[in-house]
Amino acid sequence: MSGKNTFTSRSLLTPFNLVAGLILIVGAVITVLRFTRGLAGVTHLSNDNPWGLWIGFDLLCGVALAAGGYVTSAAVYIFGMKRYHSAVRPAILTGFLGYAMVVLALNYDVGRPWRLPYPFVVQQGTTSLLFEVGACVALYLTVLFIEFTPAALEWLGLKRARNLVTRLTILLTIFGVVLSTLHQSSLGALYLIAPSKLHPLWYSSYLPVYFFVSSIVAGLSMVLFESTLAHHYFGDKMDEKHLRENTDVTLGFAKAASLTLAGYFTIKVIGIAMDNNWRYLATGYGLWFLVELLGFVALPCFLYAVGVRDKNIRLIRWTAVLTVLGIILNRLNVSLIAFNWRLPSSERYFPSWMEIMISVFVVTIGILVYRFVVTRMPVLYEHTDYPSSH
Amino acid sequence: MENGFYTLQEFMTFTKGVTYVIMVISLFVITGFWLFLTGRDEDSQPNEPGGTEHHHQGGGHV
Repeated sequence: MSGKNTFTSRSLLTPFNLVAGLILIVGAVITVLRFTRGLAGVTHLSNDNPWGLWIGFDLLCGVALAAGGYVTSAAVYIFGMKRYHSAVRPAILTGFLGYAMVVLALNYDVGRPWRLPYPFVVQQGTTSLLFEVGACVALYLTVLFIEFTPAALEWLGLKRARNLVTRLTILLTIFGVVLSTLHQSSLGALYLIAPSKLHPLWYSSYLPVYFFVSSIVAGLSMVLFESTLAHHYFGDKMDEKHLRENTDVTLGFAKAASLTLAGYFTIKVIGIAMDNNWRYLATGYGLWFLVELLGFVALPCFLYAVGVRDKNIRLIRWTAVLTVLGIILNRLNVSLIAFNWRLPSSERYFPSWMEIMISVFVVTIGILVYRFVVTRMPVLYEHTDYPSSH
Repeated sequence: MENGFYTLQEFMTFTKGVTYVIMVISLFVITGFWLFLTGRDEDSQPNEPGGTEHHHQGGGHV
Protein backbone atom coordinates (compact mmCIF):
# COMPACT_ATOMS: atom_id res chain seq x y z
CA MET A 1 0.00 0.00 0.00
CA SER A 2 2.99 2.30 -0.14
CA GLY A 3 1.73 4.00 -3.21
CA LYS A 4 -1.73 4.57 -1.87
CA ASN A 5 -1.10 7.64 0.20
CA THR A 6 0.94 9.56 -2.32
CA PHE A 7 -1.13 12.02 -4.26
CA THR A 8 -0.11 11.93 -7.86
CA SER A 9 -0.21 15.39 -9.34
CA ARG A 10 -1.91 15.65 -12.69
CA SER A 11 -3.01 18.52 -14.81
CA LEU A 12 -5.55 20.65 -13.02
CA LEU A 13 -7.30 21.48 -16.29
CA THR A 14 -9.70 18.54 -16.29
CA PRO A 15 -13.35 18.96 -17.32
CA PHE A 16 -14.43 18.26 -13.74
CA ASN A 17 -12.09 20.89 -12.33
CA LEU A 18 -13.18 23.47 -14.88
CA VAL A 19 -16.87 22.94 -14.14
CA ALA A 20 -16.21 22.88 -10.39
CA GLY A 21 -14.12 26.06 -10.66
CA LEU A 22 -16.88 27.82 -12.57
CA ILE A 23 -19.45 26.78 -9.95
CA LEU A 24 -17.17 28.03 -7.16
CA ILE A 25 -16.75 31.43 -8.86
CA VAL A 26 -20.49 31.87 -9.42
CA GLY A 27 -21.18 30.63 -5.89
CA ALA A 28 -18.68 33.09 -4.43
CA VAL A 29 -20.33 36.00 -6.27
CA ILE A 30 -23.81 34.97 -5.05
CA THR A 31 -22.40 34.56 -1.53
CA VAL A 32 -21.30 38.19 -1.60
CA LEU A 33 -24.75 39.20 -2.85
CA ARG A 34 -26.46 37.11 -0.16
CA PHE A 35 -24.52 38.75 2.68
CA THR A 36 -24.68 42.27 1.28
CA ARG A 37 -28.24 42.42 -0.03
CA GLY A 38 -29.85 39.98 2.39
CA LEU A 39 -32.22 37.09 1.67
CA ALA A 40 -34.54 39.21 -0.44
CA GLY A 41 -31.70 40.01 -2.82
CA VAL A 42 -31.07 36.44 -3.90
CA THR A 43 -34.07 34.31 -2.91
CA HIS A 44 -37.78 34.02 -3.60
CA LEU A 45 -38.50 33.43 0.08
CA SER A 46 -41.48 35.24 1.60
CA ASN A 47 -43.62 35.24 4.72
CA ASP A 48 -45.77 32.53 3.11
CA ASN A 49 -42.69 30.49 2.23
CA PRO A 50 -39.98 31.27 4.77
CA TRP A 51 -38.32 27.90 4.22
CA GLY A 52 -37.23 27.25 0.67
CA LEU A 53 -34.73 25.19 -1.24
CA TRP A 54 -31.93 25.71 1.25
CA ILE A 55 -34.03 24.03 3.94
CA GLY A 56 -35.82 21.52 1.71
CA PHE A 57 -32.77 20.31 -0.15
CA ASP A 58 -29.60 21.37 1.65
CA LEU A 59 -30.82 20.69 5.16
CA LEU A 60 -33.53 18.00 4.98
CA CYS A 61 -31.94 16.00 2.16
CA GLY A 62 -28.42 16.68 3.45
CA VAL A 63 -29.17 15.35 6.92
CA ALA A 64 -31.08 12.32 5.61
CA LEU A 65 -28.40 11.37 3.10
CA ALA A 66 -25.67 11.82 5.69
CA ALA A 67 -27.29 9.10 7.81
CA GLY A 68 -24.88 6.51 6.44
CA GLY A 69 -22.45 7.42 9.21
CA TYR A 70 -24.62 6.35 12.13
CA VAL A 71 -26.19 3.43 10.26
CA THR A 72 -22.84 1.91 9.29
CA SER A 73 -21.06 2.53 12.58
CA ALA A 74 -24.05 1.13 14.50
CA ALA A 75 -24.05 -2.00 12.32
CA VAL A 76 -20.32 -2.57 12.81
CA TYR A 77 -19.62 -1.43 16.37
CA ILE A 78 -22.97 -2.00 18.13
CA PHE A 79 -24.40 -4.97 16.24
CA GLY A 80 -20.99 -6.52 15.70
CA MET A 81 -21.20 -6.90 11.92
CA LYS A 82 -17.44 -6.71 11.50
CA ARG A 83 -17.60 -7.88 7.90
CA TYR A 84 -18.80 -4.38 7.00
CA HIS A 85 -15.85 -2.71 8.71
CA SER A 86 -14.32 -1.36 5.52
CA ALA A 87 -17.50 0.65 4.93
CA VAL A 88 -17.20 2.62 8.17
CA ARG A 89 -14.65 5.28 7.29
CA PRO A 90 -16.11 6.24 3.91
CA ALA A 91 -19.55 6.40 5.55
CA ILE A 92 -18.27 8.51 8.45
CA LEU A 93 -16.51 10.84 6.01
CA THR A 94 -19.64 11.19 3.86
CA GLY A 95 -21.71 11.79 6.99
CA PHE A 96 -19.31 14.38 8.36
CA LEU A 97 -19.11 16.26 5.07
CA GLY A 98 -22.89 16.02 4.68
CA TYR A 99 -23.50 17.61 8.07
CA ALA A 100 -20.75 20.18 7.53
CA MET A 101 -22.44 21.21 4.27
CA VAL A 102 -25.79 21.36 6.08
CA VAL A 103 -24.33 23.81 8.59
CA LEU A 104 -22.67 25.79 5.79
CA ALA A 105 -25.98 26.04 3.91
CA LEU A 106 -27.74 27.03 7.13
CA ASN A 107 -25.51 30.10 7.31
CA TYR A 108 -27.01 31.23 4.00
CA ASP A 109 -30.58 30.49 5.01
CA VAL A 110 -30.69 31.94 8.50
CA GLY A 111 -31.37 35.66 8.40
CA ARG A 112 -28.69 36.48 10.96
CA PRO A 113 -26.29 33.53 10.86
CA TRP A 114 -23.98 35.04 13.46
CA ARG A 115 -26.74 34.26 15.94
CA LEU A 116 -26.56 30.50 15.28
CA PRO A 117 -24.70 29.90 18.58
CA TYR A 118 -27.36 31.86 20.54
CA PRO A 119 -29.38 28.77 21.56
CA PHE A 120 -26.30 27.48 23.36
CA VAL A 121 -25.03 30.64 25.00
CA VAL A 122 -27.82 33.23 25.18
CA GLN A 123 -31.28 31.72 25.23
CA GLN A 124 -31.95 27.99 25.10
CA GLY A 125 -35.60 27.88 24.02
CA THR A 126 -35.77 24.28 25.15
CA THR A 127 -39.46 23.97 24.27
CA SER A 128 -38.64 24.43 20.59
CA LEU A 129 -38.04 21.49 18.28
CA LEU A 130 -35.58 23.69 16.42
CA PHE A 131 -33.51 23.91 19.60
CA GLU A 132 -33.35 20.13 19.73
CA VAL A 133 -32.48 19.90 16.03
CA GLY A 134 -29.84 22.62 16.41
CA ALA A 135 -28.32 21.03 19.50
CA CYS A 136 -28.29 17.54 17.98
CA VAL A 137 -26.81 18.67 14.67
CA ALA A 138 -24.11 20.66 16.43
CA LEU A 139 -23.26 17.77 18.76
CA TYR A 140 -23.45 15.13 16.05
CA LEU A 141 -21.23 17.17 13.73
CA THR A 142 -18.71 17.23 16.56
CA VAL A 143 -19.11 13.47 17.08
CA LEU A 144 -18.59 12.79 13.38
CA PHE A 145 -15.54 15.02 13.36
CA ILE A 146 -14.00 13.11 16.29
CA GLU A 147 -14.99 9.78 14.71
CA PHE A 148 -13.17 10.77 11.55
CA THR A 149 -10.03 12.15 13.22
CA PRO A 150 -8.23 8.76 13.41
CA ALA A 151 -7.91 8.82 9.60
CA ALA A 152 -6.53 12.37 9.67
CA LEU A 153 -4.23 11.58 12.59
CA GLU A 154 -2.90 8.49 10.81
CA TRP A 155 -2.22 10.67 7.79
CA LEU A 156 -0.42 13.22 9.98
CA GLY A 157 1.52 10.48 11.77
CA LEU A 158 0.21 11.38 15.24
CA LYS A 159 0.12 7.86 16.61
CA ARG A 160 -0.61 8.57 20.29
CA ALA A 161 -3.44 10.97 19.59
CA ARG A 162 -4.88 8.55 17.08
CA ASN A 163 -4.80 5.65 19.56
CA LEU A 164 -6.45 7.83 22.19
CA VAL A 165 -9.34 8.76 19.89
CA THR A 166 -9.77 5.15 18.74
CA ARG A 167 -10.54 4.13 22.34
CA LEU A 168 -13.60 6.38 22.21
CA THR A 169 -15.11 4.56 19.21
CA ILE A 170 -17.93 2.69 20.95
CA LEU A 171 -18.83 5.70 23.10
CA LEU A 172 -18.97 7.98 20.05
CA THR A 173 -20.99 5.42 18.11
CA ILE A 174 -23.65 5.15 20.82
CA PHE A 175 -23.74 8.93 21.21
CA GLY A 176 -24.04 9.31 17.43
CA VAL A 177 -26.94 6.86 17.19
CA VAL A 178 -28.80 8.57 20.04
CA LEU A 179 -28.31 12.02 18.52
CA SER A 180 -29.28 10.82 15.04
CA THR A 181 -32.43 9.14 16.31
CA LEU A 182 -33.39 12.39 17.99
CA HIS A 183 -32.77 14.90 15.24
CA GLN A 184 -33.66 12.78 12.19
CA SER A 185 -37.13 12.34 13.65
CA SER A 186 -37.32 15.92 14.91
CA LEU A 187 -36.80 17.25 11.40
CA GLY A 188 -40.08 15.54 10.49
CA ALA A 189 -41.66 16.74 13.72
CA LEU A 190 -40.97 20.34 12.66
CA TYR A 191 -43.80 19.98 10.16
CA LEU A 192 -46.30 18.81 12.77
CA ILE A 193 -46.97 22.47 13.45
CA ALA A 194 -48.37 22.96 9.94
CA PRO A 195 -51.34 20.59 9.47
CA SER A 196 -53.23 23.23 7.50
CA LYS A 197 -50.32 23.94 5.16
CA LEU A 198 -48.97 20.48 4.36
CA HIS A 199 -51.09 18.25 2.13
CA PRO A 200 -52.92 15.57 4.18
CA LEU A 201 -51.24 12.74 2.29
CA TRP A 202 -47.84 13.92 3.49
CA TYR A 203 -48.97 15.31 6.82
CA SER A 204 -49.26 12.71 9.54
CA SER A 205 -48.71 12.52 13.25
CA TYR A 206 -46.21 9.82 12.28
CA LEU A 207 -44.00 12.30 10.37
CA PRO A 208 -41.16 11.95 12.90
CA VAL A 209 -41.28 8.16 12.46
CA TYR A 210 -41.34 8.49 8.67
CA PHE A 211 -38.33 10.77 8.70
CA PHE A 212 -36.37 8.50 11.01
CA VAL A 213 -37.14 5.25 9.19
CA SER A 214 -36.51 6.80 5.78
CA SER A 215 -33.20 8.20 7.07
CA ILE A 216 -32.04 4.62 7.69
CA VAL A 217 -32.92 3.76 4.08
CA ALA A 218 -31.20 6.97 2.93
CA GLY A 219 -28.07 6.12 4.91
CA LEU A 220 -27.86 2.58 3.58
CA SER A 221 -28.51 3.66 0.00
CA MET A 222 -26.10 6.56 0.21
CA VAL A 223 -23.32 4.23 1.36
CA LEU A 224 -24.05 2.03 -1.67
CA PHE A 225 -24.20 5.04 -3.99
CA GLU A 226 -21.05 6.59 -2.59
CA SER A 227 -19.25 3.25 -2.85
CA THR A 228 -20.19 3.02 -6.53
CA LEU A 229 -18.72 6.45 -7.22
CA ALA A 230 -15.64 5.78 -5.07
CA HIS A 231 -15.15 2.45 -6.81
CA HIS A 232 -15.33 4.15 -10.19
CA TYR A 233 -13.26 7.26 -9.52
CA PHE A 234 -10.95 6.21 -6.68
CA GLY A 235 -10.58 2.50 -7.37
CA ASP A 236 -6.80 2.89 -7.41
CA LYS A 237 -6.91 4.12 -3.79
CA MET A 238 -8.56 0.96 -2.48
CA ASP A 239 -6.75 -1.89 -0.86
CA GLU A 240 -7.46 -5.60 -1.16
CA LYS A 241 -9.56 -5.70 2.01
CA HIS A 242 -11.90 -3.00 0.76
CA LEU A 243 -12.25 -4.62 -2.62
CA ARG A 244 -12.76 -8.06 -1.07
CA GLU A 245 -15.41 -6.92 1.42
CA ASN A 246 -17.33 -4.91 -1.15
CA THR A 247 -19.66 -7.69 -2.26
CA ASP A 248 -20.63 -8.53 1.33
CA VAL A 249 -21.24 -4.87 2.11
CA THR A 250 -23.33 -4.33 -1.02
CA LEU A 251 -25.51 -7.41 -0.49
CA GLY A 252 -25.85 -6.84 3.25
CA PHE A 253 -26.78 -3.18 2.96
CA ALA A 254 -29.16 -3.88 0.08
CA LYS A 255 -30.94 -6.53 2.13
CA ALA A 256 -31.25 -4.17 5.09
CA ALA A 257 -32.48 -1.36 2.82
CA SER A 258 -35.05 -3.65 1.19
CA LEU A 259 -36.50 -4.77 4.50
CA THR A 260 -36.50 -1.24 5.92
CA LEU A 261 -38.25 0.03 2.77
CA ALA A 262 -40.89 -2.68 3.23
CA GLY A 263 -41.47 -1.45 6.78
CA TYR A 264 -41.49 2.16 5.61
CA PHE A 265 -44.06 1.37 2.92
CA THR A 266 -46.25 -0.35 5.50
CA ILE A 267 -46.23 2.54 7.97
CA LYS A 268 -46.90 5.02 5.15
CA VAL A 269 -50.04 3.04 4.22
CA ILE A 270 -51.02 2.80 7.88
CA GLY A 271 -50.64 6.60 8.07
CA ILE A 272 -53.17 7.00 5.25
CA ALA A 273 -55.54 4.60 6.99
CA MET A 274 -55.23 6.26 10.40
CA ASP A 275 -56.22 9.66 8.97
CA ASN A 276 -58.68 8.15 6.49
CA ASN A 277 -57.04 9.99 3.61
CA TRP A 278 -57.90 7.44 0.93
CA ARG A 279 -60.08 9.90 -0.97
CA TYR A 280 -57.09 12.16 -1.68
CA LEU A 281 -55.40 9.40 -3.67
CA ALA A 282 -57.74 10.04 -6.60
CA THR A 283 -56.59 13.67 -6.90
CA GLY A 284 -53.58 15.18 -8.69
CA TYR A 285 -51.61 15.34 -5.47
CA GLY A 286 -52.71 11.77 -4.77
CA LEU A 287 -51.20 10.59 -8.04
CA TRP A 288 -47.98 12.41 -7.18
CA PHE A 289 -48.04 10.76 -3.76
CA LEU A 290 -48.48 7.37 -5.43
CA VAL A 291 -45.54 8.11 -7.73
CA GLU A 292 -43.43 8.65 -4.63
CA LEU A 293 -44.82 5.70 -2.70
CA LEU A 294 -44.86 3.15 -5.52
CA GLY A 295 -42.04 4.41 -7.73
CA PHE A 296 -39.54 5.42 -5.08
CA VAL A 297 -40.43 3.17 -2.11
CA ALA A 298 -42.16 -0.01 -3.30
CA LEU A 299 -40.15 -0.34 -6.52
CA PRO A 300 -36.68 0.03 -4.95
CA CYS A 301 -37.80 -2.28 -2.14
CA PHE A 302 -38.57 -4.96 -4.73
CA LEU A 303 -35.49 -4.23 -6.87
CA TYR A 304 -33.19 -4.43 -3.85
CA ALA A 305 -34.75 -7.81 -2.99
CA VAL A 306 -34.28 -9.09 -6.53
CA GLY A 307 -30.71 -7.77 -6.52
CA VAL A 308 -29.98 -9.58 -3.25
CA ARG A 309 -31.59 -12.82 -4.44
CA ASP A 310 -29.75 -12.79 -7.76
CA LYS A 311 -26.61 -11.26 -6.21
CA ASN A 312 -26.87 -8.68 -8.94
CA ILE A 313 -24.49 -5.94 -7.78
CA ARG A 314 -25.21 -3.66 -10.71
CA LEU A 315 -28.97 -3.77 -10.09
CA ILE A 316 -28.39 -2.97 -6.42
CA ARG A 317 -26.24 0.04 -7.29
CA TRP A 318 -28.82 1.46 -9.68
CA THR A 319 -31.50 0.82 -7.09
CA ALA A 320 -29.45 2.82 -4.59
CA VAL A 321 -29.54 5.77 -7.01
CA LEU A 322 -33.32 5.38 -7.34
CA THR A 323 -33.71 5.26 -3.57
CA VAL A 324 -31.55 8.33 -3.00
CA LEU A 325 -33.68 10.20 -5.56
CA GLY A 326 -36.77 8.97 -3.73
CA ILE A 327 -35.55 10.35 -0.41
CA ILE A 328 -34.79 13.70 -2.06
CA LEU A 329 -38.25 13.67 -3.64
CA ASN A 330 -39.89 12.90 -0.30
CA ARG A 331 -38.11 15.73 1.51
CA LEU A 332 -38.90 18.18 -1.29
CA ASN A 333 -42.52 17.04 -1.28
CA VAL A 334 -42.87 17.65 2.44
CA SER A 335 -41.01 20.96 2.53
CA LEU A 336 -41.88 22.53 -0.83
CA ILE A 337 -44.14 20.71 -3.29
CA ALA A 338 -46.98 19.63 -1.00
CA PHE A 339 -46.42 22.57 1.35
CA ASN A 340 -48.84 25.50 1.00
CA TRP A 341 -50.72 23.32 -1.47
CA ARG A 342 -53.88 25.37 -1.04
CA LEU A 343 -52.23 28.61 -2.20
CA PRO A 344 -52.83 29.71 -5.80
CA SER A 345 -49.92 28.96 -8.06
CA SER A 346 -49.04 32.65 -8.32
CA GLU A 347 -48.27 32.66 -4.60
CA ARG A 348 -46.43 29.35 -4.55
CA TYR A 349 -42.70 29.28 -3.97
CA PHE A 350 -40.22 28.39 -6.66
CA PRO A 351 -36.53 28.89 -5.93
CA SER A 352 -34.58 31.58 -7.74
CA TRP A 353 -31.66 30.54 -9.92
CA MET A 354 -29.32 31.95 -7.28
CA GLU A 355 -30.81 29.70 -4.59
CA ILE A 356 -30.31 26.72 -6.88
CA MET A 357 -26.74 27.82 -7.62
CA ILE A 358 -25.90 28.11 -3.93
CA SER A 359 -27.18 24.56 -3.39
CA VAL A 360 -25.02 23.36 -6.30
CA PHE A 361 -22.13 25.41 -4.86
CA VAL A 362 -22.47 23.74 -1.45
CA VAL A 363 -22.66 20.23 -2.96
CA THR A 364 -19.61 21.00 -5.12
CA ILE A 365 -17.61 22.09 -2.08
CA GLY A 366 -18.56 18.80 -0.40
CA ILE A 367 -17.41 16.78 -3.41
CA LEU A 368 -14.12 18.68 -3.64
CA VAL A 369 -13.37 18.22 0.06
CA TYR A 370 -14.25 14.51 -0.24
CA ARG A 371 -11.83 14.18 -3.14
CA PHE A 372 -9.13 16.05 -1.23
CA VAL A 373 -9.52 13.75 1.77
CA VAL A 374 -9.76 10.35 0.06
CA THR A 375 -6.76 11.07 -2.17
CA ARG A 376 -4.61 11.75 0.89
CA MET A 377 -5.95 10.06 4.00
CA PRO A 378 -6.49 6.35 4.71
CA VAL A 379 -10.21 6.23 4.03
CA LEU A 380 -10.50 3.74 1.19
CA TYR A 381 -7.54 1.72 2.42
CA GLU A 382 -5.93 0.80 5.72
CA HIS A 383 -2.78 2.62 6.78
CA THR A 384 0.12 0.18 6.84
CA ASP A 385 0.94 1.10 10.46
CA TYR A 386 -2.60 0.29 11.71
CA PRO A 387 -3.86 -2.86 10.00
CA SER A 388 -7.40 -3.73 11.19
CA SER A 389 -6.87 -1.92 14.46
CA HIS A 390 -9.65 0.64 14.30
CA MET B 1 -70.64 15.52 6.93
CA GLU B 2 -67.57 14.48 5.02
CA ASN B 3 -67.03 10.71 5.03
CA GLY B 4 -70.32 10.17 6.85
CA PHE B 5 -68.78 10.22 10.32
CA TYR B 6 -70.84 11.96 12.95
CA THR B 7 -68.73 11.33 16.03
CA LEU B 8 -65.06 10.88 16.83
CA GLN B 9 -66.01 7.42 18.09
CA GLU B 10 -67.25 6.44 14.63
CA PHE B 11 -64.16 7.86 12.97
CA MET B 12 -61.77 6.08 15.33
CA THR B 13 -63.65 2.80 15.07
CA PHE B 14 -63.50 2.91 11.29
CA THR B 15 -59.88 4.05 10.89
CA LYS B 16 -58.52 1.77 13.60
CA GLY B 17 -60.48 -1.13 12.15
CA VAL B 18 -58.93 -0.55 8.72
CA THR B 19 -55.49 -0.14 10.30
CA TYR B 20 -55.78 -3.45 12.16
CA VAL B 21 -56.76 -5.19 8.92
CA ILE B 22 -53.74 -3.64 7.16
CA MET B 23 -51.46 -4.74 10.00
CA VAL B 24 -52.67 -8.34 9.84
CA ILE B 25 -52.20 -8.34 6.05
CA SER B 26 -48.73 -6.77 6.53
CA LEU B 27 -47.78 -9.51 8.94
CA PHE B 28 -48.30 -12.13 6.26
CA VAL B 29 -46.96 -10.04 3.35
CA ILE B 30 -43.76 -9.02 5.15
CA THR B 31 -43.18 -12.59 6.30
CA GLY B 32 -43.54 -13.72 2.71
CA PHE B 33 -41.28 -10.88 1.57
CA TRP B 34 -38.65 -11.90 4.11
CA LEU B 35 -38.72 -15.45 2.76
CA PHE B 36 -38.39 -14.05 -0.77
CA LEU B 37 -35.51 -11.79 0.31
CA THR B 38 -33.55 -14.50 2.10
CA GLY B 39 -34.60 -17.41 -0.12
CA ARG B 40 -31.22 -17.78 -1.76
CA ASP B 41 -29.00 -16.76 1.15
CA GLU B 42 -27.13 -20.04 1.22
CA ASP B 43 -26.19 -19.70 -2.45
CA SER B 44 -22.62 -18.76 -3.24
CA GLN B 45 -20.87 -15.95 -5.08
CA PRO B 46 -22.35 -13.07 -7.04
CA ASN B 47 -22.52 -13.10 -10.80
CA GLU B 48 -19.19 -12.50 -12.38
CA PRO B 49 -18.29 -10.40 -15.44
CA GLY B 50 -20.50 -11.19 -18.30
CA GLY B 51 -23.23 -11.62 -15.77
CA THR B 52 -24.16 -8.64 -13.74
CA GLU B 53 -21.14 -7.20 -11.92
CA HIS B 54 -18.79 -4.73 -13.55
CA HIS B 55 -15.42 -5.80 -12.20
CA HIS B 56 -13.18 -3.37 -14.00
CA GLN B 57 -11.29 -2.65 -10.78
CA GLY B 58 -11.29 -6.21 -9.59
CA GLY B 59 -14.21 -5.82 -7.24
CA GLY B 60 -15.98 -3.03 -5.49
CA HIS B 61 -15.88 -1.02 -2.41
CA VAL B 62 -18.00 0.63 0.17
